[in-house]
Amino acid sequence: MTINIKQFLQTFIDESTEMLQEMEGELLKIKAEKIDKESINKIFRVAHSIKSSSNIFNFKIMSALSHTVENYLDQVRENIKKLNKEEIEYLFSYVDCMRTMLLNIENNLPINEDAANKLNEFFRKLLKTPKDNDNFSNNYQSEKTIKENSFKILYYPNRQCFLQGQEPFRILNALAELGHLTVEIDMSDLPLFPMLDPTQCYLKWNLRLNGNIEKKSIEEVLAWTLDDDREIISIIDDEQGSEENPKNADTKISEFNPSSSKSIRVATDKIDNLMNIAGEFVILQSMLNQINKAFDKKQTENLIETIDKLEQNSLRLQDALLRVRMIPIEFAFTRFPRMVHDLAKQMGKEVELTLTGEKTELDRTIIEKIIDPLSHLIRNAIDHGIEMPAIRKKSGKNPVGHIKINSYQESGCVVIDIIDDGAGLNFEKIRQYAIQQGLKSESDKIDNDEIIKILSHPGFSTADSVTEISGRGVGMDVVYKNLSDIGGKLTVETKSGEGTKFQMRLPLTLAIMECQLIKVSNETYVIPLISFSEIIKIDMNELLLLDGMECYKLRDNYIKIIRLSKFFTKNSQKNSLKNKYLLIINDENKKSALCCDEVLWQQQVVIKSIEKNYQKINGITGATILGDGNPALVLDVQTIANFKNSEKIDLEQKINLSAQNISLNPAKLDNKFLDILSFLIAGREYGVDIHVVKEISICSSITPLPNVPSYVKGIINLRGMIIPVIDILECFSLGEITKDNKDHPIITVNIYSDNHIKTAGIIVDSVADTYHILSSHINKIPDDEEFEFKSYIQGLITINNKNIPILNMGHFIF
Amino acid sequence: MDCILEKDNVIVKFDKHLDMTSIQDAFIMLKKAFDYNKPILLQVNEITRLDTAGLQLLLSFYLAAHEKKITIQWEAPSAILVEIAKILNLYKLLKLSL
Repeated sequence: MTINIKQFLQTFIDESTEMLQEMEGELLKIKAEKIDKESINKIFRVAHSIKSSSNIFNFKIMSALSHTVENYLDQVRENIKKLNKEEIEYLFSYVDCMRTMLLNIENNLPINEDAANKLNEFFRKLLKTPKDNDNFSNNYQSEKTIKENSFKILYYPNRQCFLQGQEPFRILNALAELGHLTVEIDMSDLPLFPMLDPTQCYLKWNLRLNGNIEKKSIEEVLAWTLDDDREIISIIDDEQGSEENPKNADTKISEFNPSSSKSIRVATDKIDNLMNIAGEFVILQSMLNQINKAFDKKQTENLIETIDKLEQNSLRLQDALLRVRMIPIEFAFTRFPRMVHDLAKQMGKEVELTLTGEKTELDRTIIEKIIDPLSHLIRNAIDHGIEMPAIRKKSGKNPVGHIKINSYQESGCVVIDIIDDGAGLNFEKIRQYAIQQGLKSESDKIDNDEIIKILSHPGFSTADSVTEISGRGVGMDVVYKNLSDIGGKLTVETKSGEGTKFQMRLPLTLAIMECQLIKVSNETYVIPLISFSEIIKIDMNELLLLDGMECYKLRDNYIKIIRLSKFFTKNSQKNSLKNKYLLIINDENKKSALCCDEVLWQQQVVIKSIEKNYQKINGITGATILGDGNPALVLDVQTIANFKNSEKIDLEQKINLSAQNISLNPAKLDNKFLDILSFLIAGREYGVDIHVVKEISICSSITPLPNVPSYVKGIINLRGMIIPVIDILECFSLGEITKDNKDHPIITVNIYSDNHIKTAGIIVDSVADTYHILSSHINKIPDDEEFEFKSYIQGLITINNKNIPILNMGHFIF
Repeated sequence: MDCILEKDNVIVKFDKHLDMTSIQDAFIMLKKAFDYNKPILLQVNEITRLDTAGLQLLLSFYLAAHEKKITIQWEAPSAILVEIAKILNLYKLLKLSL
């Protein structure tokens, strides 16, 4: 058996990326402040570590460049070489170059060696130049005279150290470079040869190091070895005290370990799986609550107690899991100091960035989705907000512009403020743009509340010229949309000459949301609480028609009414709004209201994807499973508010056009034996490849979907998975299998297309038979045969003189 | 890697790499050689990449053979093997100098 070192490649990439981030942060510190020895040490450690680990994976260019950079940094530490602006910029280039190489490695792309070689050459030349320590005392304190020291080092690597890419011999080699090293090997843990696991490390070393050595230098070498607390290392400075018992060495670890918080890397799909289980827990508890309501309370005291405990436990589990997904927002923030540094340099501006609240935690998915919007806002602030130093000076401002990014939690949301002290937004230009685009009339005034809507208009730009940084008018609409997609909100406040503040308001997580349940035409729907501001019962006296639109007068504002019944059903009949409710929503600062029949209760819901097994549906974020086990649709309020009837596309046509080249199961068609499961619909027998059949169940309840072809009857809950259900009869325009869909068997099938597998159900009257046939016995439908739905049929098989169409399920779904 | 059974001994021929990428293969090969219960000649002259795991394997094997009174002979240890064995203080123990 051979160990595949590539399994550790992702860890190498992740760790190196994190280390480069740290290096960049330290370089920015050096730039902004005086050179600090600790920063140089940290930068050195990054180069050293990347050198060693890239060597393990045989990335020679990375290793060689890091080696040269490490040597150079070592000379900086030793006060031999200096670190000026130019060298700092080259170290930034090293970070960029490494990042690019890592990205290429991750994407299996070839590494561009030219950039790395050029950088390597630059640092090599630096190393060859004469010592410049004479000129290098202004901002780098020289070290005190080093005394002859002796250290005893107990180096007991943890068992996994080989698998973690650690190399004891390199550690010993590095220590030997510091002074005179005496090595004593401890083999007491080494098992008998046949019992050996060669991937584990059983050896330990007791070392003695003498020389003009600082304890810190040893710590630096050994710092690489510490990965977790199973690794025992102790250093005893003979001059400082007596030797310690190795058994007590654990106590020394914290003194030495640069990172006191322990962390583990967990793949997000594993966390997602745990989240699903936690979600099921919540659903189960909700189901038990419903069952409980139907029981005689006197007999069910224990049941109630158990439900309470289950509820507490499920909430605890859910909370704990949510915390696993939560990461500090500094994950996003750490890239901004460099970005600001580069952009300010490019623009000839001076900009200082302050980050606060970096420890505020958010769901990883949300953090990933806000990086681009945040970057865009910062770019805009530098390009359009912060003035040139001379202009700032003239207007009595500090020539150094200031951008502050502050993050904090408020009312169950995470808020991020992006504040600059620049010129503020140009109201007049914004107004002119709005008038040109017909968004506003000449007489309209624009206030802060309305600005965001204009800024988010596709193509908006007030820039006089297009720069590399911004001004193309592409961006703010995307920022706004990205934030809307994750249920976030963006607002802006600006004062001419004083600056601008953008505020993002984000949900803590996307996986579980606090929602309101409502009823429309006897179906239950779910609306995230973050999407609306209030609910009111309709007062018929406040209803009026404006420009043919149903409106409601609320506190002197006229609010457009959107009837959800109209959105979800094809029924255009307008029923009375008496006793109905309005959910008031702020849609791009223009208020509108969703009208529903009943307001139910609020609860946390686990949002599941419909897209995973079907397609994206306009106006629907996903689905959740209610306490009765039935799915309910979670509404995308922003899209519904902007939905116009004219936008309704011909979905039947779209689906027919998009369904191309999808086979039954491509792997099975090479004249091999196939098993066909047949079923009856309206007296006719149809078949599917049995390999795609997942299971057969009985249909209980189908939740209808809006704006989908009529043969897609809706979605069902298949043990926590949301799948669409197809009525084949209706697809072939042969009628409808059933009105209520209840108690019919549903054959669940997996549908293959390219790299996707989707799951869907077919409603049938009954399951008929199975047939074992050769794939060559599937006959194509003759070309001359007139059959409108030919593409939905893979072919025909003839059994007992009966032609049985074999369905091509992909055409129904993809 | 190869394990050849000769009349009087067993020859284990190592490839260029004796590190984590090939350690399991080497372990299996050495176990096979060990089971013949004959003097073993370790041809380690071609090794150009070695890590501590590789050396630990050789050490464990060497100690087990010694225990079982099986003679181990090194054939022209490569420079890297000698160097790493020296760093880890195993050079004398493995009798690489002989």
